[in-house]
Amino acid sequence: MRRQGTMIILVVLLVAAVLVAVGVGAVWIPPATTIRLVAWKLGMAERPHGVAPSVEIILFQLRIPRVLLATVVGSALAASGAVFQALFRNPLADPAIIGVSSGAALGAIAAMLVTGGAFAGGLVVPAVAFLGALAAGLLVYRLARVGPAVQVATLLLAGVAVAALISAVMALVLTYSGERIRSIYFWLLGGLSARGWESLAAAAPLAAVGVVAALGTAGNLNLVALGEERAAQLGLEVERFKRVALATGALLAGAAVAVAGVIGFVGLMTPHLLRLVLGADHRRLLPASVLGGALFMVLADLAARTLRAPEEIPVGAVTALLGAPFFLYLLRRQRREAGARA
Amino acid sequence: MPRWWRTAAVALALMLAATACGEAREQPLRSPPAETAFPVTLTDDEGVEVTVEAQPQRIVTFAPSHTEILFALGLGERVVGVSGPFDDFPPQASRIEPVAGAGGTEPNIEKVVALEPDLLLTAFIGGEWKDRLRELGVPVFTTLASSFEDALEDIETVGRLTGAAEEAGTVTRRMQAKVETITAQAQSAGSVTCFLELSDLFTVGPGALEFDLLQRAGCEPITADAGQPYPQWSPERLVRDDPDVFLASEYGQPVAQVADRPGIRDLRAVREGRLFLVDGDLISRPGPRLVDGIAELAEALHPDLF
Amino acid sequence: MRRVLVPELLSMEAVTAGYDGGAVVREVTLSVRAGEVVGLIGPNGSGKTTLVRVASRALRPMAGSVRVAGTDPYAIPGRKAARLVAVVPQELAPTFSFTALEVVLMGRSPYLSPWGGGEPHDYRKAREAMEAAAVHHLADRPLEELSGGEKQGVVLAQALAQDAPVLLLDEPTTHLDLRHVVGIMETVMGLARDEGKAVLAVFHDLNLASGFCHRLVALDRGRVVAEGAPEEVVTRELLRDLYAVDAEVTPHFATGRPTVLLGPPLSPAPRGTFPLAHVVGGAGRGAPAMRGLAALGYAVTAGVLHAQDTDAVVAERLNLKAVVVPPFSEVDEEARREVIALMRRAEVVVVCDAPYGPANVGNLVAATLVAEEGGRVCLLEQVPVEERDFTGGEATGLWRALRERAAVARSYEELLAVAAPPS
Repeated sequence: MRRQGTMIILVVLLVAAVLVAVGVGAVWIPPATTIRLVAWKLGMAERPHGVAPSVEIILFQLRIPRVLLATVVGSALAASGAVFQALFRNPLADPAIIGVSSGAALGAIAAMLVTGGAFAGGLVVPAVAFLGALAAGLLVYRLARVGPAVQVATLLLAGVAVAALISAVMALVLTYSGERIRSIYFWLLGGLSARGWESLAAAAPLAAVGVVAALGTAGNLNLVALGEERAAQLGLEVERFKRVALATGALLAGAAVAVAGVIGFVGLMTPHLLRLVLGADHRRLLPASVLGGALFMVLADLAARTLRAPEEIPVGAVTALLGAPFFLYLLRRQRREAGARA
Repeated sequence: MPRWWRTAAVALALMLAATACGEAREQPLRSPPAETAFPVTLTDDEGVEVTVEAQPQRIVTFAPSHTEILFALGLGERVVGVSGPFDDFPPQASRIEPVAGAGGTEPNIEKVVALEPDLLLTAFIGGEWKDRLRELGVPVFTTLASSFEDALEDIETVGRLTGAAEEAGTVTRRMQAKVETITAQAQSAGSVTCFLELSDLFTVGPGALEFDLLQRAGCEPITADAGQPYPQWSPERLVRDDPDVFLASEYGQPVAQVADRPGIRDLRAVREGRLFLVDGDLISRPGPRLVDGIAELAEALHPDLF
Repeated sequence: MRRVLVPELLSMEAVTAGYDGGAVVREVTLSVRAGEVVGLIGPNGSGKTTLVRVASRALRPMAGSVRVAGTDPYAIPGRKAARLVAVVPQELAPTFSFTALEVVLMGRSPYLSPWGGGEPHDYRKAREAMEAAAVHHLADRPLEELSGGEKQGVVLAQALAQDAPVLLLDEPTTHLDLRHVVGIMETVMGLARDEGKAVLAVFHDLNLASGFCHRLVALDRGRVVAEGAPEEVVTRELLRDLYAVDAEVTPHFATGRPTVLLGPPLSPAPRGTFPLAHVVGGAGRGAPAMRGLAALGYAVTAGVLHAQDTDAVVAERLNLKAVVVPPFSEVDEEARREVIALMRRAEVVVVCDAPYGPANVGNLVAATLVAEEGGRVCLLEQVPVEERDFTGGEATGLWRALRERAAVARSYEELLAVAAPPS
């Protein structure tokens, strides 16, 4: 019961967070105005009188697409984290830790340099970011492959090594590419500032495919969590599944990184937190992570753009600041409960 | 990469600059300086007391602005090392040995020592490398300018450290006169609001050198209520305040990409053709060419006047 | 007699299998029929687990063929194979915290679609499996909070939820206490008996293998060295050959299954000019008395015993002079004469509280005779005679008569004190 309740609560919270995030920003728009404008856009009412054009632009060109993009990015990162944590049987696995985010970032940078653009519009950058993520994932996978199977410890080690290698390559690229790629540096820090419908259109389809694929891996991720030998005994073609899951996680990470840069902590923390509440069954955990990641990201971005308005705070700093204490609290509480039982 | 590294350490910079300013800014302003007698002891913008024993003959600059200053003071011949490819003005500076190490944010100490310098000038904040070089007997002097006045003082300070105080005085007096003219003219034209984007909506607020330049060039930046010198600005606020002129540092992207972003493309300044790229080197290097930077800003802000 | 053709659900034909290093098992042929529990025994490294992996589609054999329910598991997808053969591993340690029900439901995954969450039918199957393994009351408990025995019950239920006709057990009771060992094994036996599952189980514990399996297959260095009923396989010779261990193998007093007894080696009792003591035992009741009297300095004799009775084996190991008759036969005239002779020569006759039936009540008759002649007789009476009288009253009468003329001890310690040689 508590479990179904959690899903309902997540949906309610997400809807509420989206409404608040659309209603609140660095520029105050009265809720009544917001509602009338949205009603007009949806064709349900006349255009309200006496509303400045800038208000319309802020709402429809900046705020709403940004909030929607936050849901997409948060969902994708959290689902990616859930997939990787199960696949690598390590609750610390995260697209950033195993090098996949770095691969996506390098891919995105390459695409930006070649196309001459730094802003994440168009499908080229997300697509190449996905390829970068996939390439990094496959490289890690290959490196970690000893004999017929991939051992988890070597996989994590290889991931860390590949992430370090890619980071070094990116640092070199940044150092020697002159001043034009200053934007890339900022983009790497991560954020949703001034991302619009173009970014949403670029990321949403890839993220949607990724989420559907991730939900499809849920049952088998449960099996993998029992150990690969046991998963095979229960009928899973383990090697093939690991490739599918790796590509799914890479697709999700690539979609998120391409439009929002490297944002940490969402992919690591969201599944972890939800697991404490919901248990480990990925058939519940993955849908919950999709919702929870969106909720977390919407709130983090809301904080990033309002707490120090009119200045913006790097959203990665917000995710860490919001996430880390809550995470530590839950971890402590869980340990106390375990201690009380013992 | 002249300035964007600074945005990453803005808070530190502010703190250091604030404390340093109080101590180091007590010299009289632009009174004709007495010819320096060495040794010279001055306190730099990080509060370090630096003594230069004799007139420096071999100087390493670790900031393009210092390279420009030394050339302007007629000491170009004495510059034996520069930071790297960004030291591109005057053109002959490009032929001087670069000393930047990996990453470009600090010099390669071995390279510096091999050049046997008797002074190193830098605009970089902090760094253990300064202590190492001082231990090895190389005086290291740091200047951090957060306004046009600061920059003038720094030029004069460099003059005193290098035995060219008189030349420095000449340079700064000429710069000040020219800027006063521009400011007077611009103020007569009435108030213009503006927004300067360094990159990705990173802009300048009070305490940033560029912010001071914007004001001198005759505009009210819409970012006057910023809490820090280099904040990232809310696009919503930008759209609401809808500045008369949108300025973008040329370090960023081509004009088409600057303009074609959500919210930005709907700005009055962008729609009506008042989006201008400005040469980042001219407004971000606290050196003699700041005057040209202010002139460029004024021209963009008041096209009918200049 | 009509022969019913029972299908072979698991069969291996000349299977050679191993890893990169080379073959671990060579040309192994074995089969398990429906309803049959076959135990795989053998020392460490003999290839037991390798065979389980071959049968469970985890290790493709280098040569030979495997058939599970008539199908080559390597020729069909993993999902299909998992509907035919289920494995119960030694233990399960999931990375994350699953509840018992979630773990058991995973056993249904060979039947689930990737996006499906489990149909009511699957939940029912999972519940049934948990009931069969007696862990249904643990459904909502996190696996890591359960005791070792409860956890293994959940693992068994997971395998049962697969609904596969072939069940492979890889040392399923290694980490469990006795209660759970018996629980798991009885569940498995029941499944074979009632649902016709074919069970192949790896054992380290030979008594477990001997006690619960219909048939045993002994492996040594990757080859089958013995196969057949437990009595045929578990022998002193096998223990010596496979494990290099000299241990007792005696039939279980109730089932007759061979039982391996481990312990410090028995030292043969001395013979010669020592006072003599005679022990009347049976069903293991005499063994402590025989050992204790020998330790007191007696030359001990024993009988009448039935061959293969624990006491007979102990007497043999202790190198005692004993009167032994074939299993289940009555004490005949010759044996009685022999044993009366031994009793008469003895300083003391100890009569233990063995169960007395028609086959050994003759011992009481002999002891009574000797007692009436004035011989020194001690009775051990931990259990009242009525409870071990299988003669319909004859034994009780003899015992009571004997009691009139004998010293009675309530424990082995007391017995040894009463029967001590005169100093």
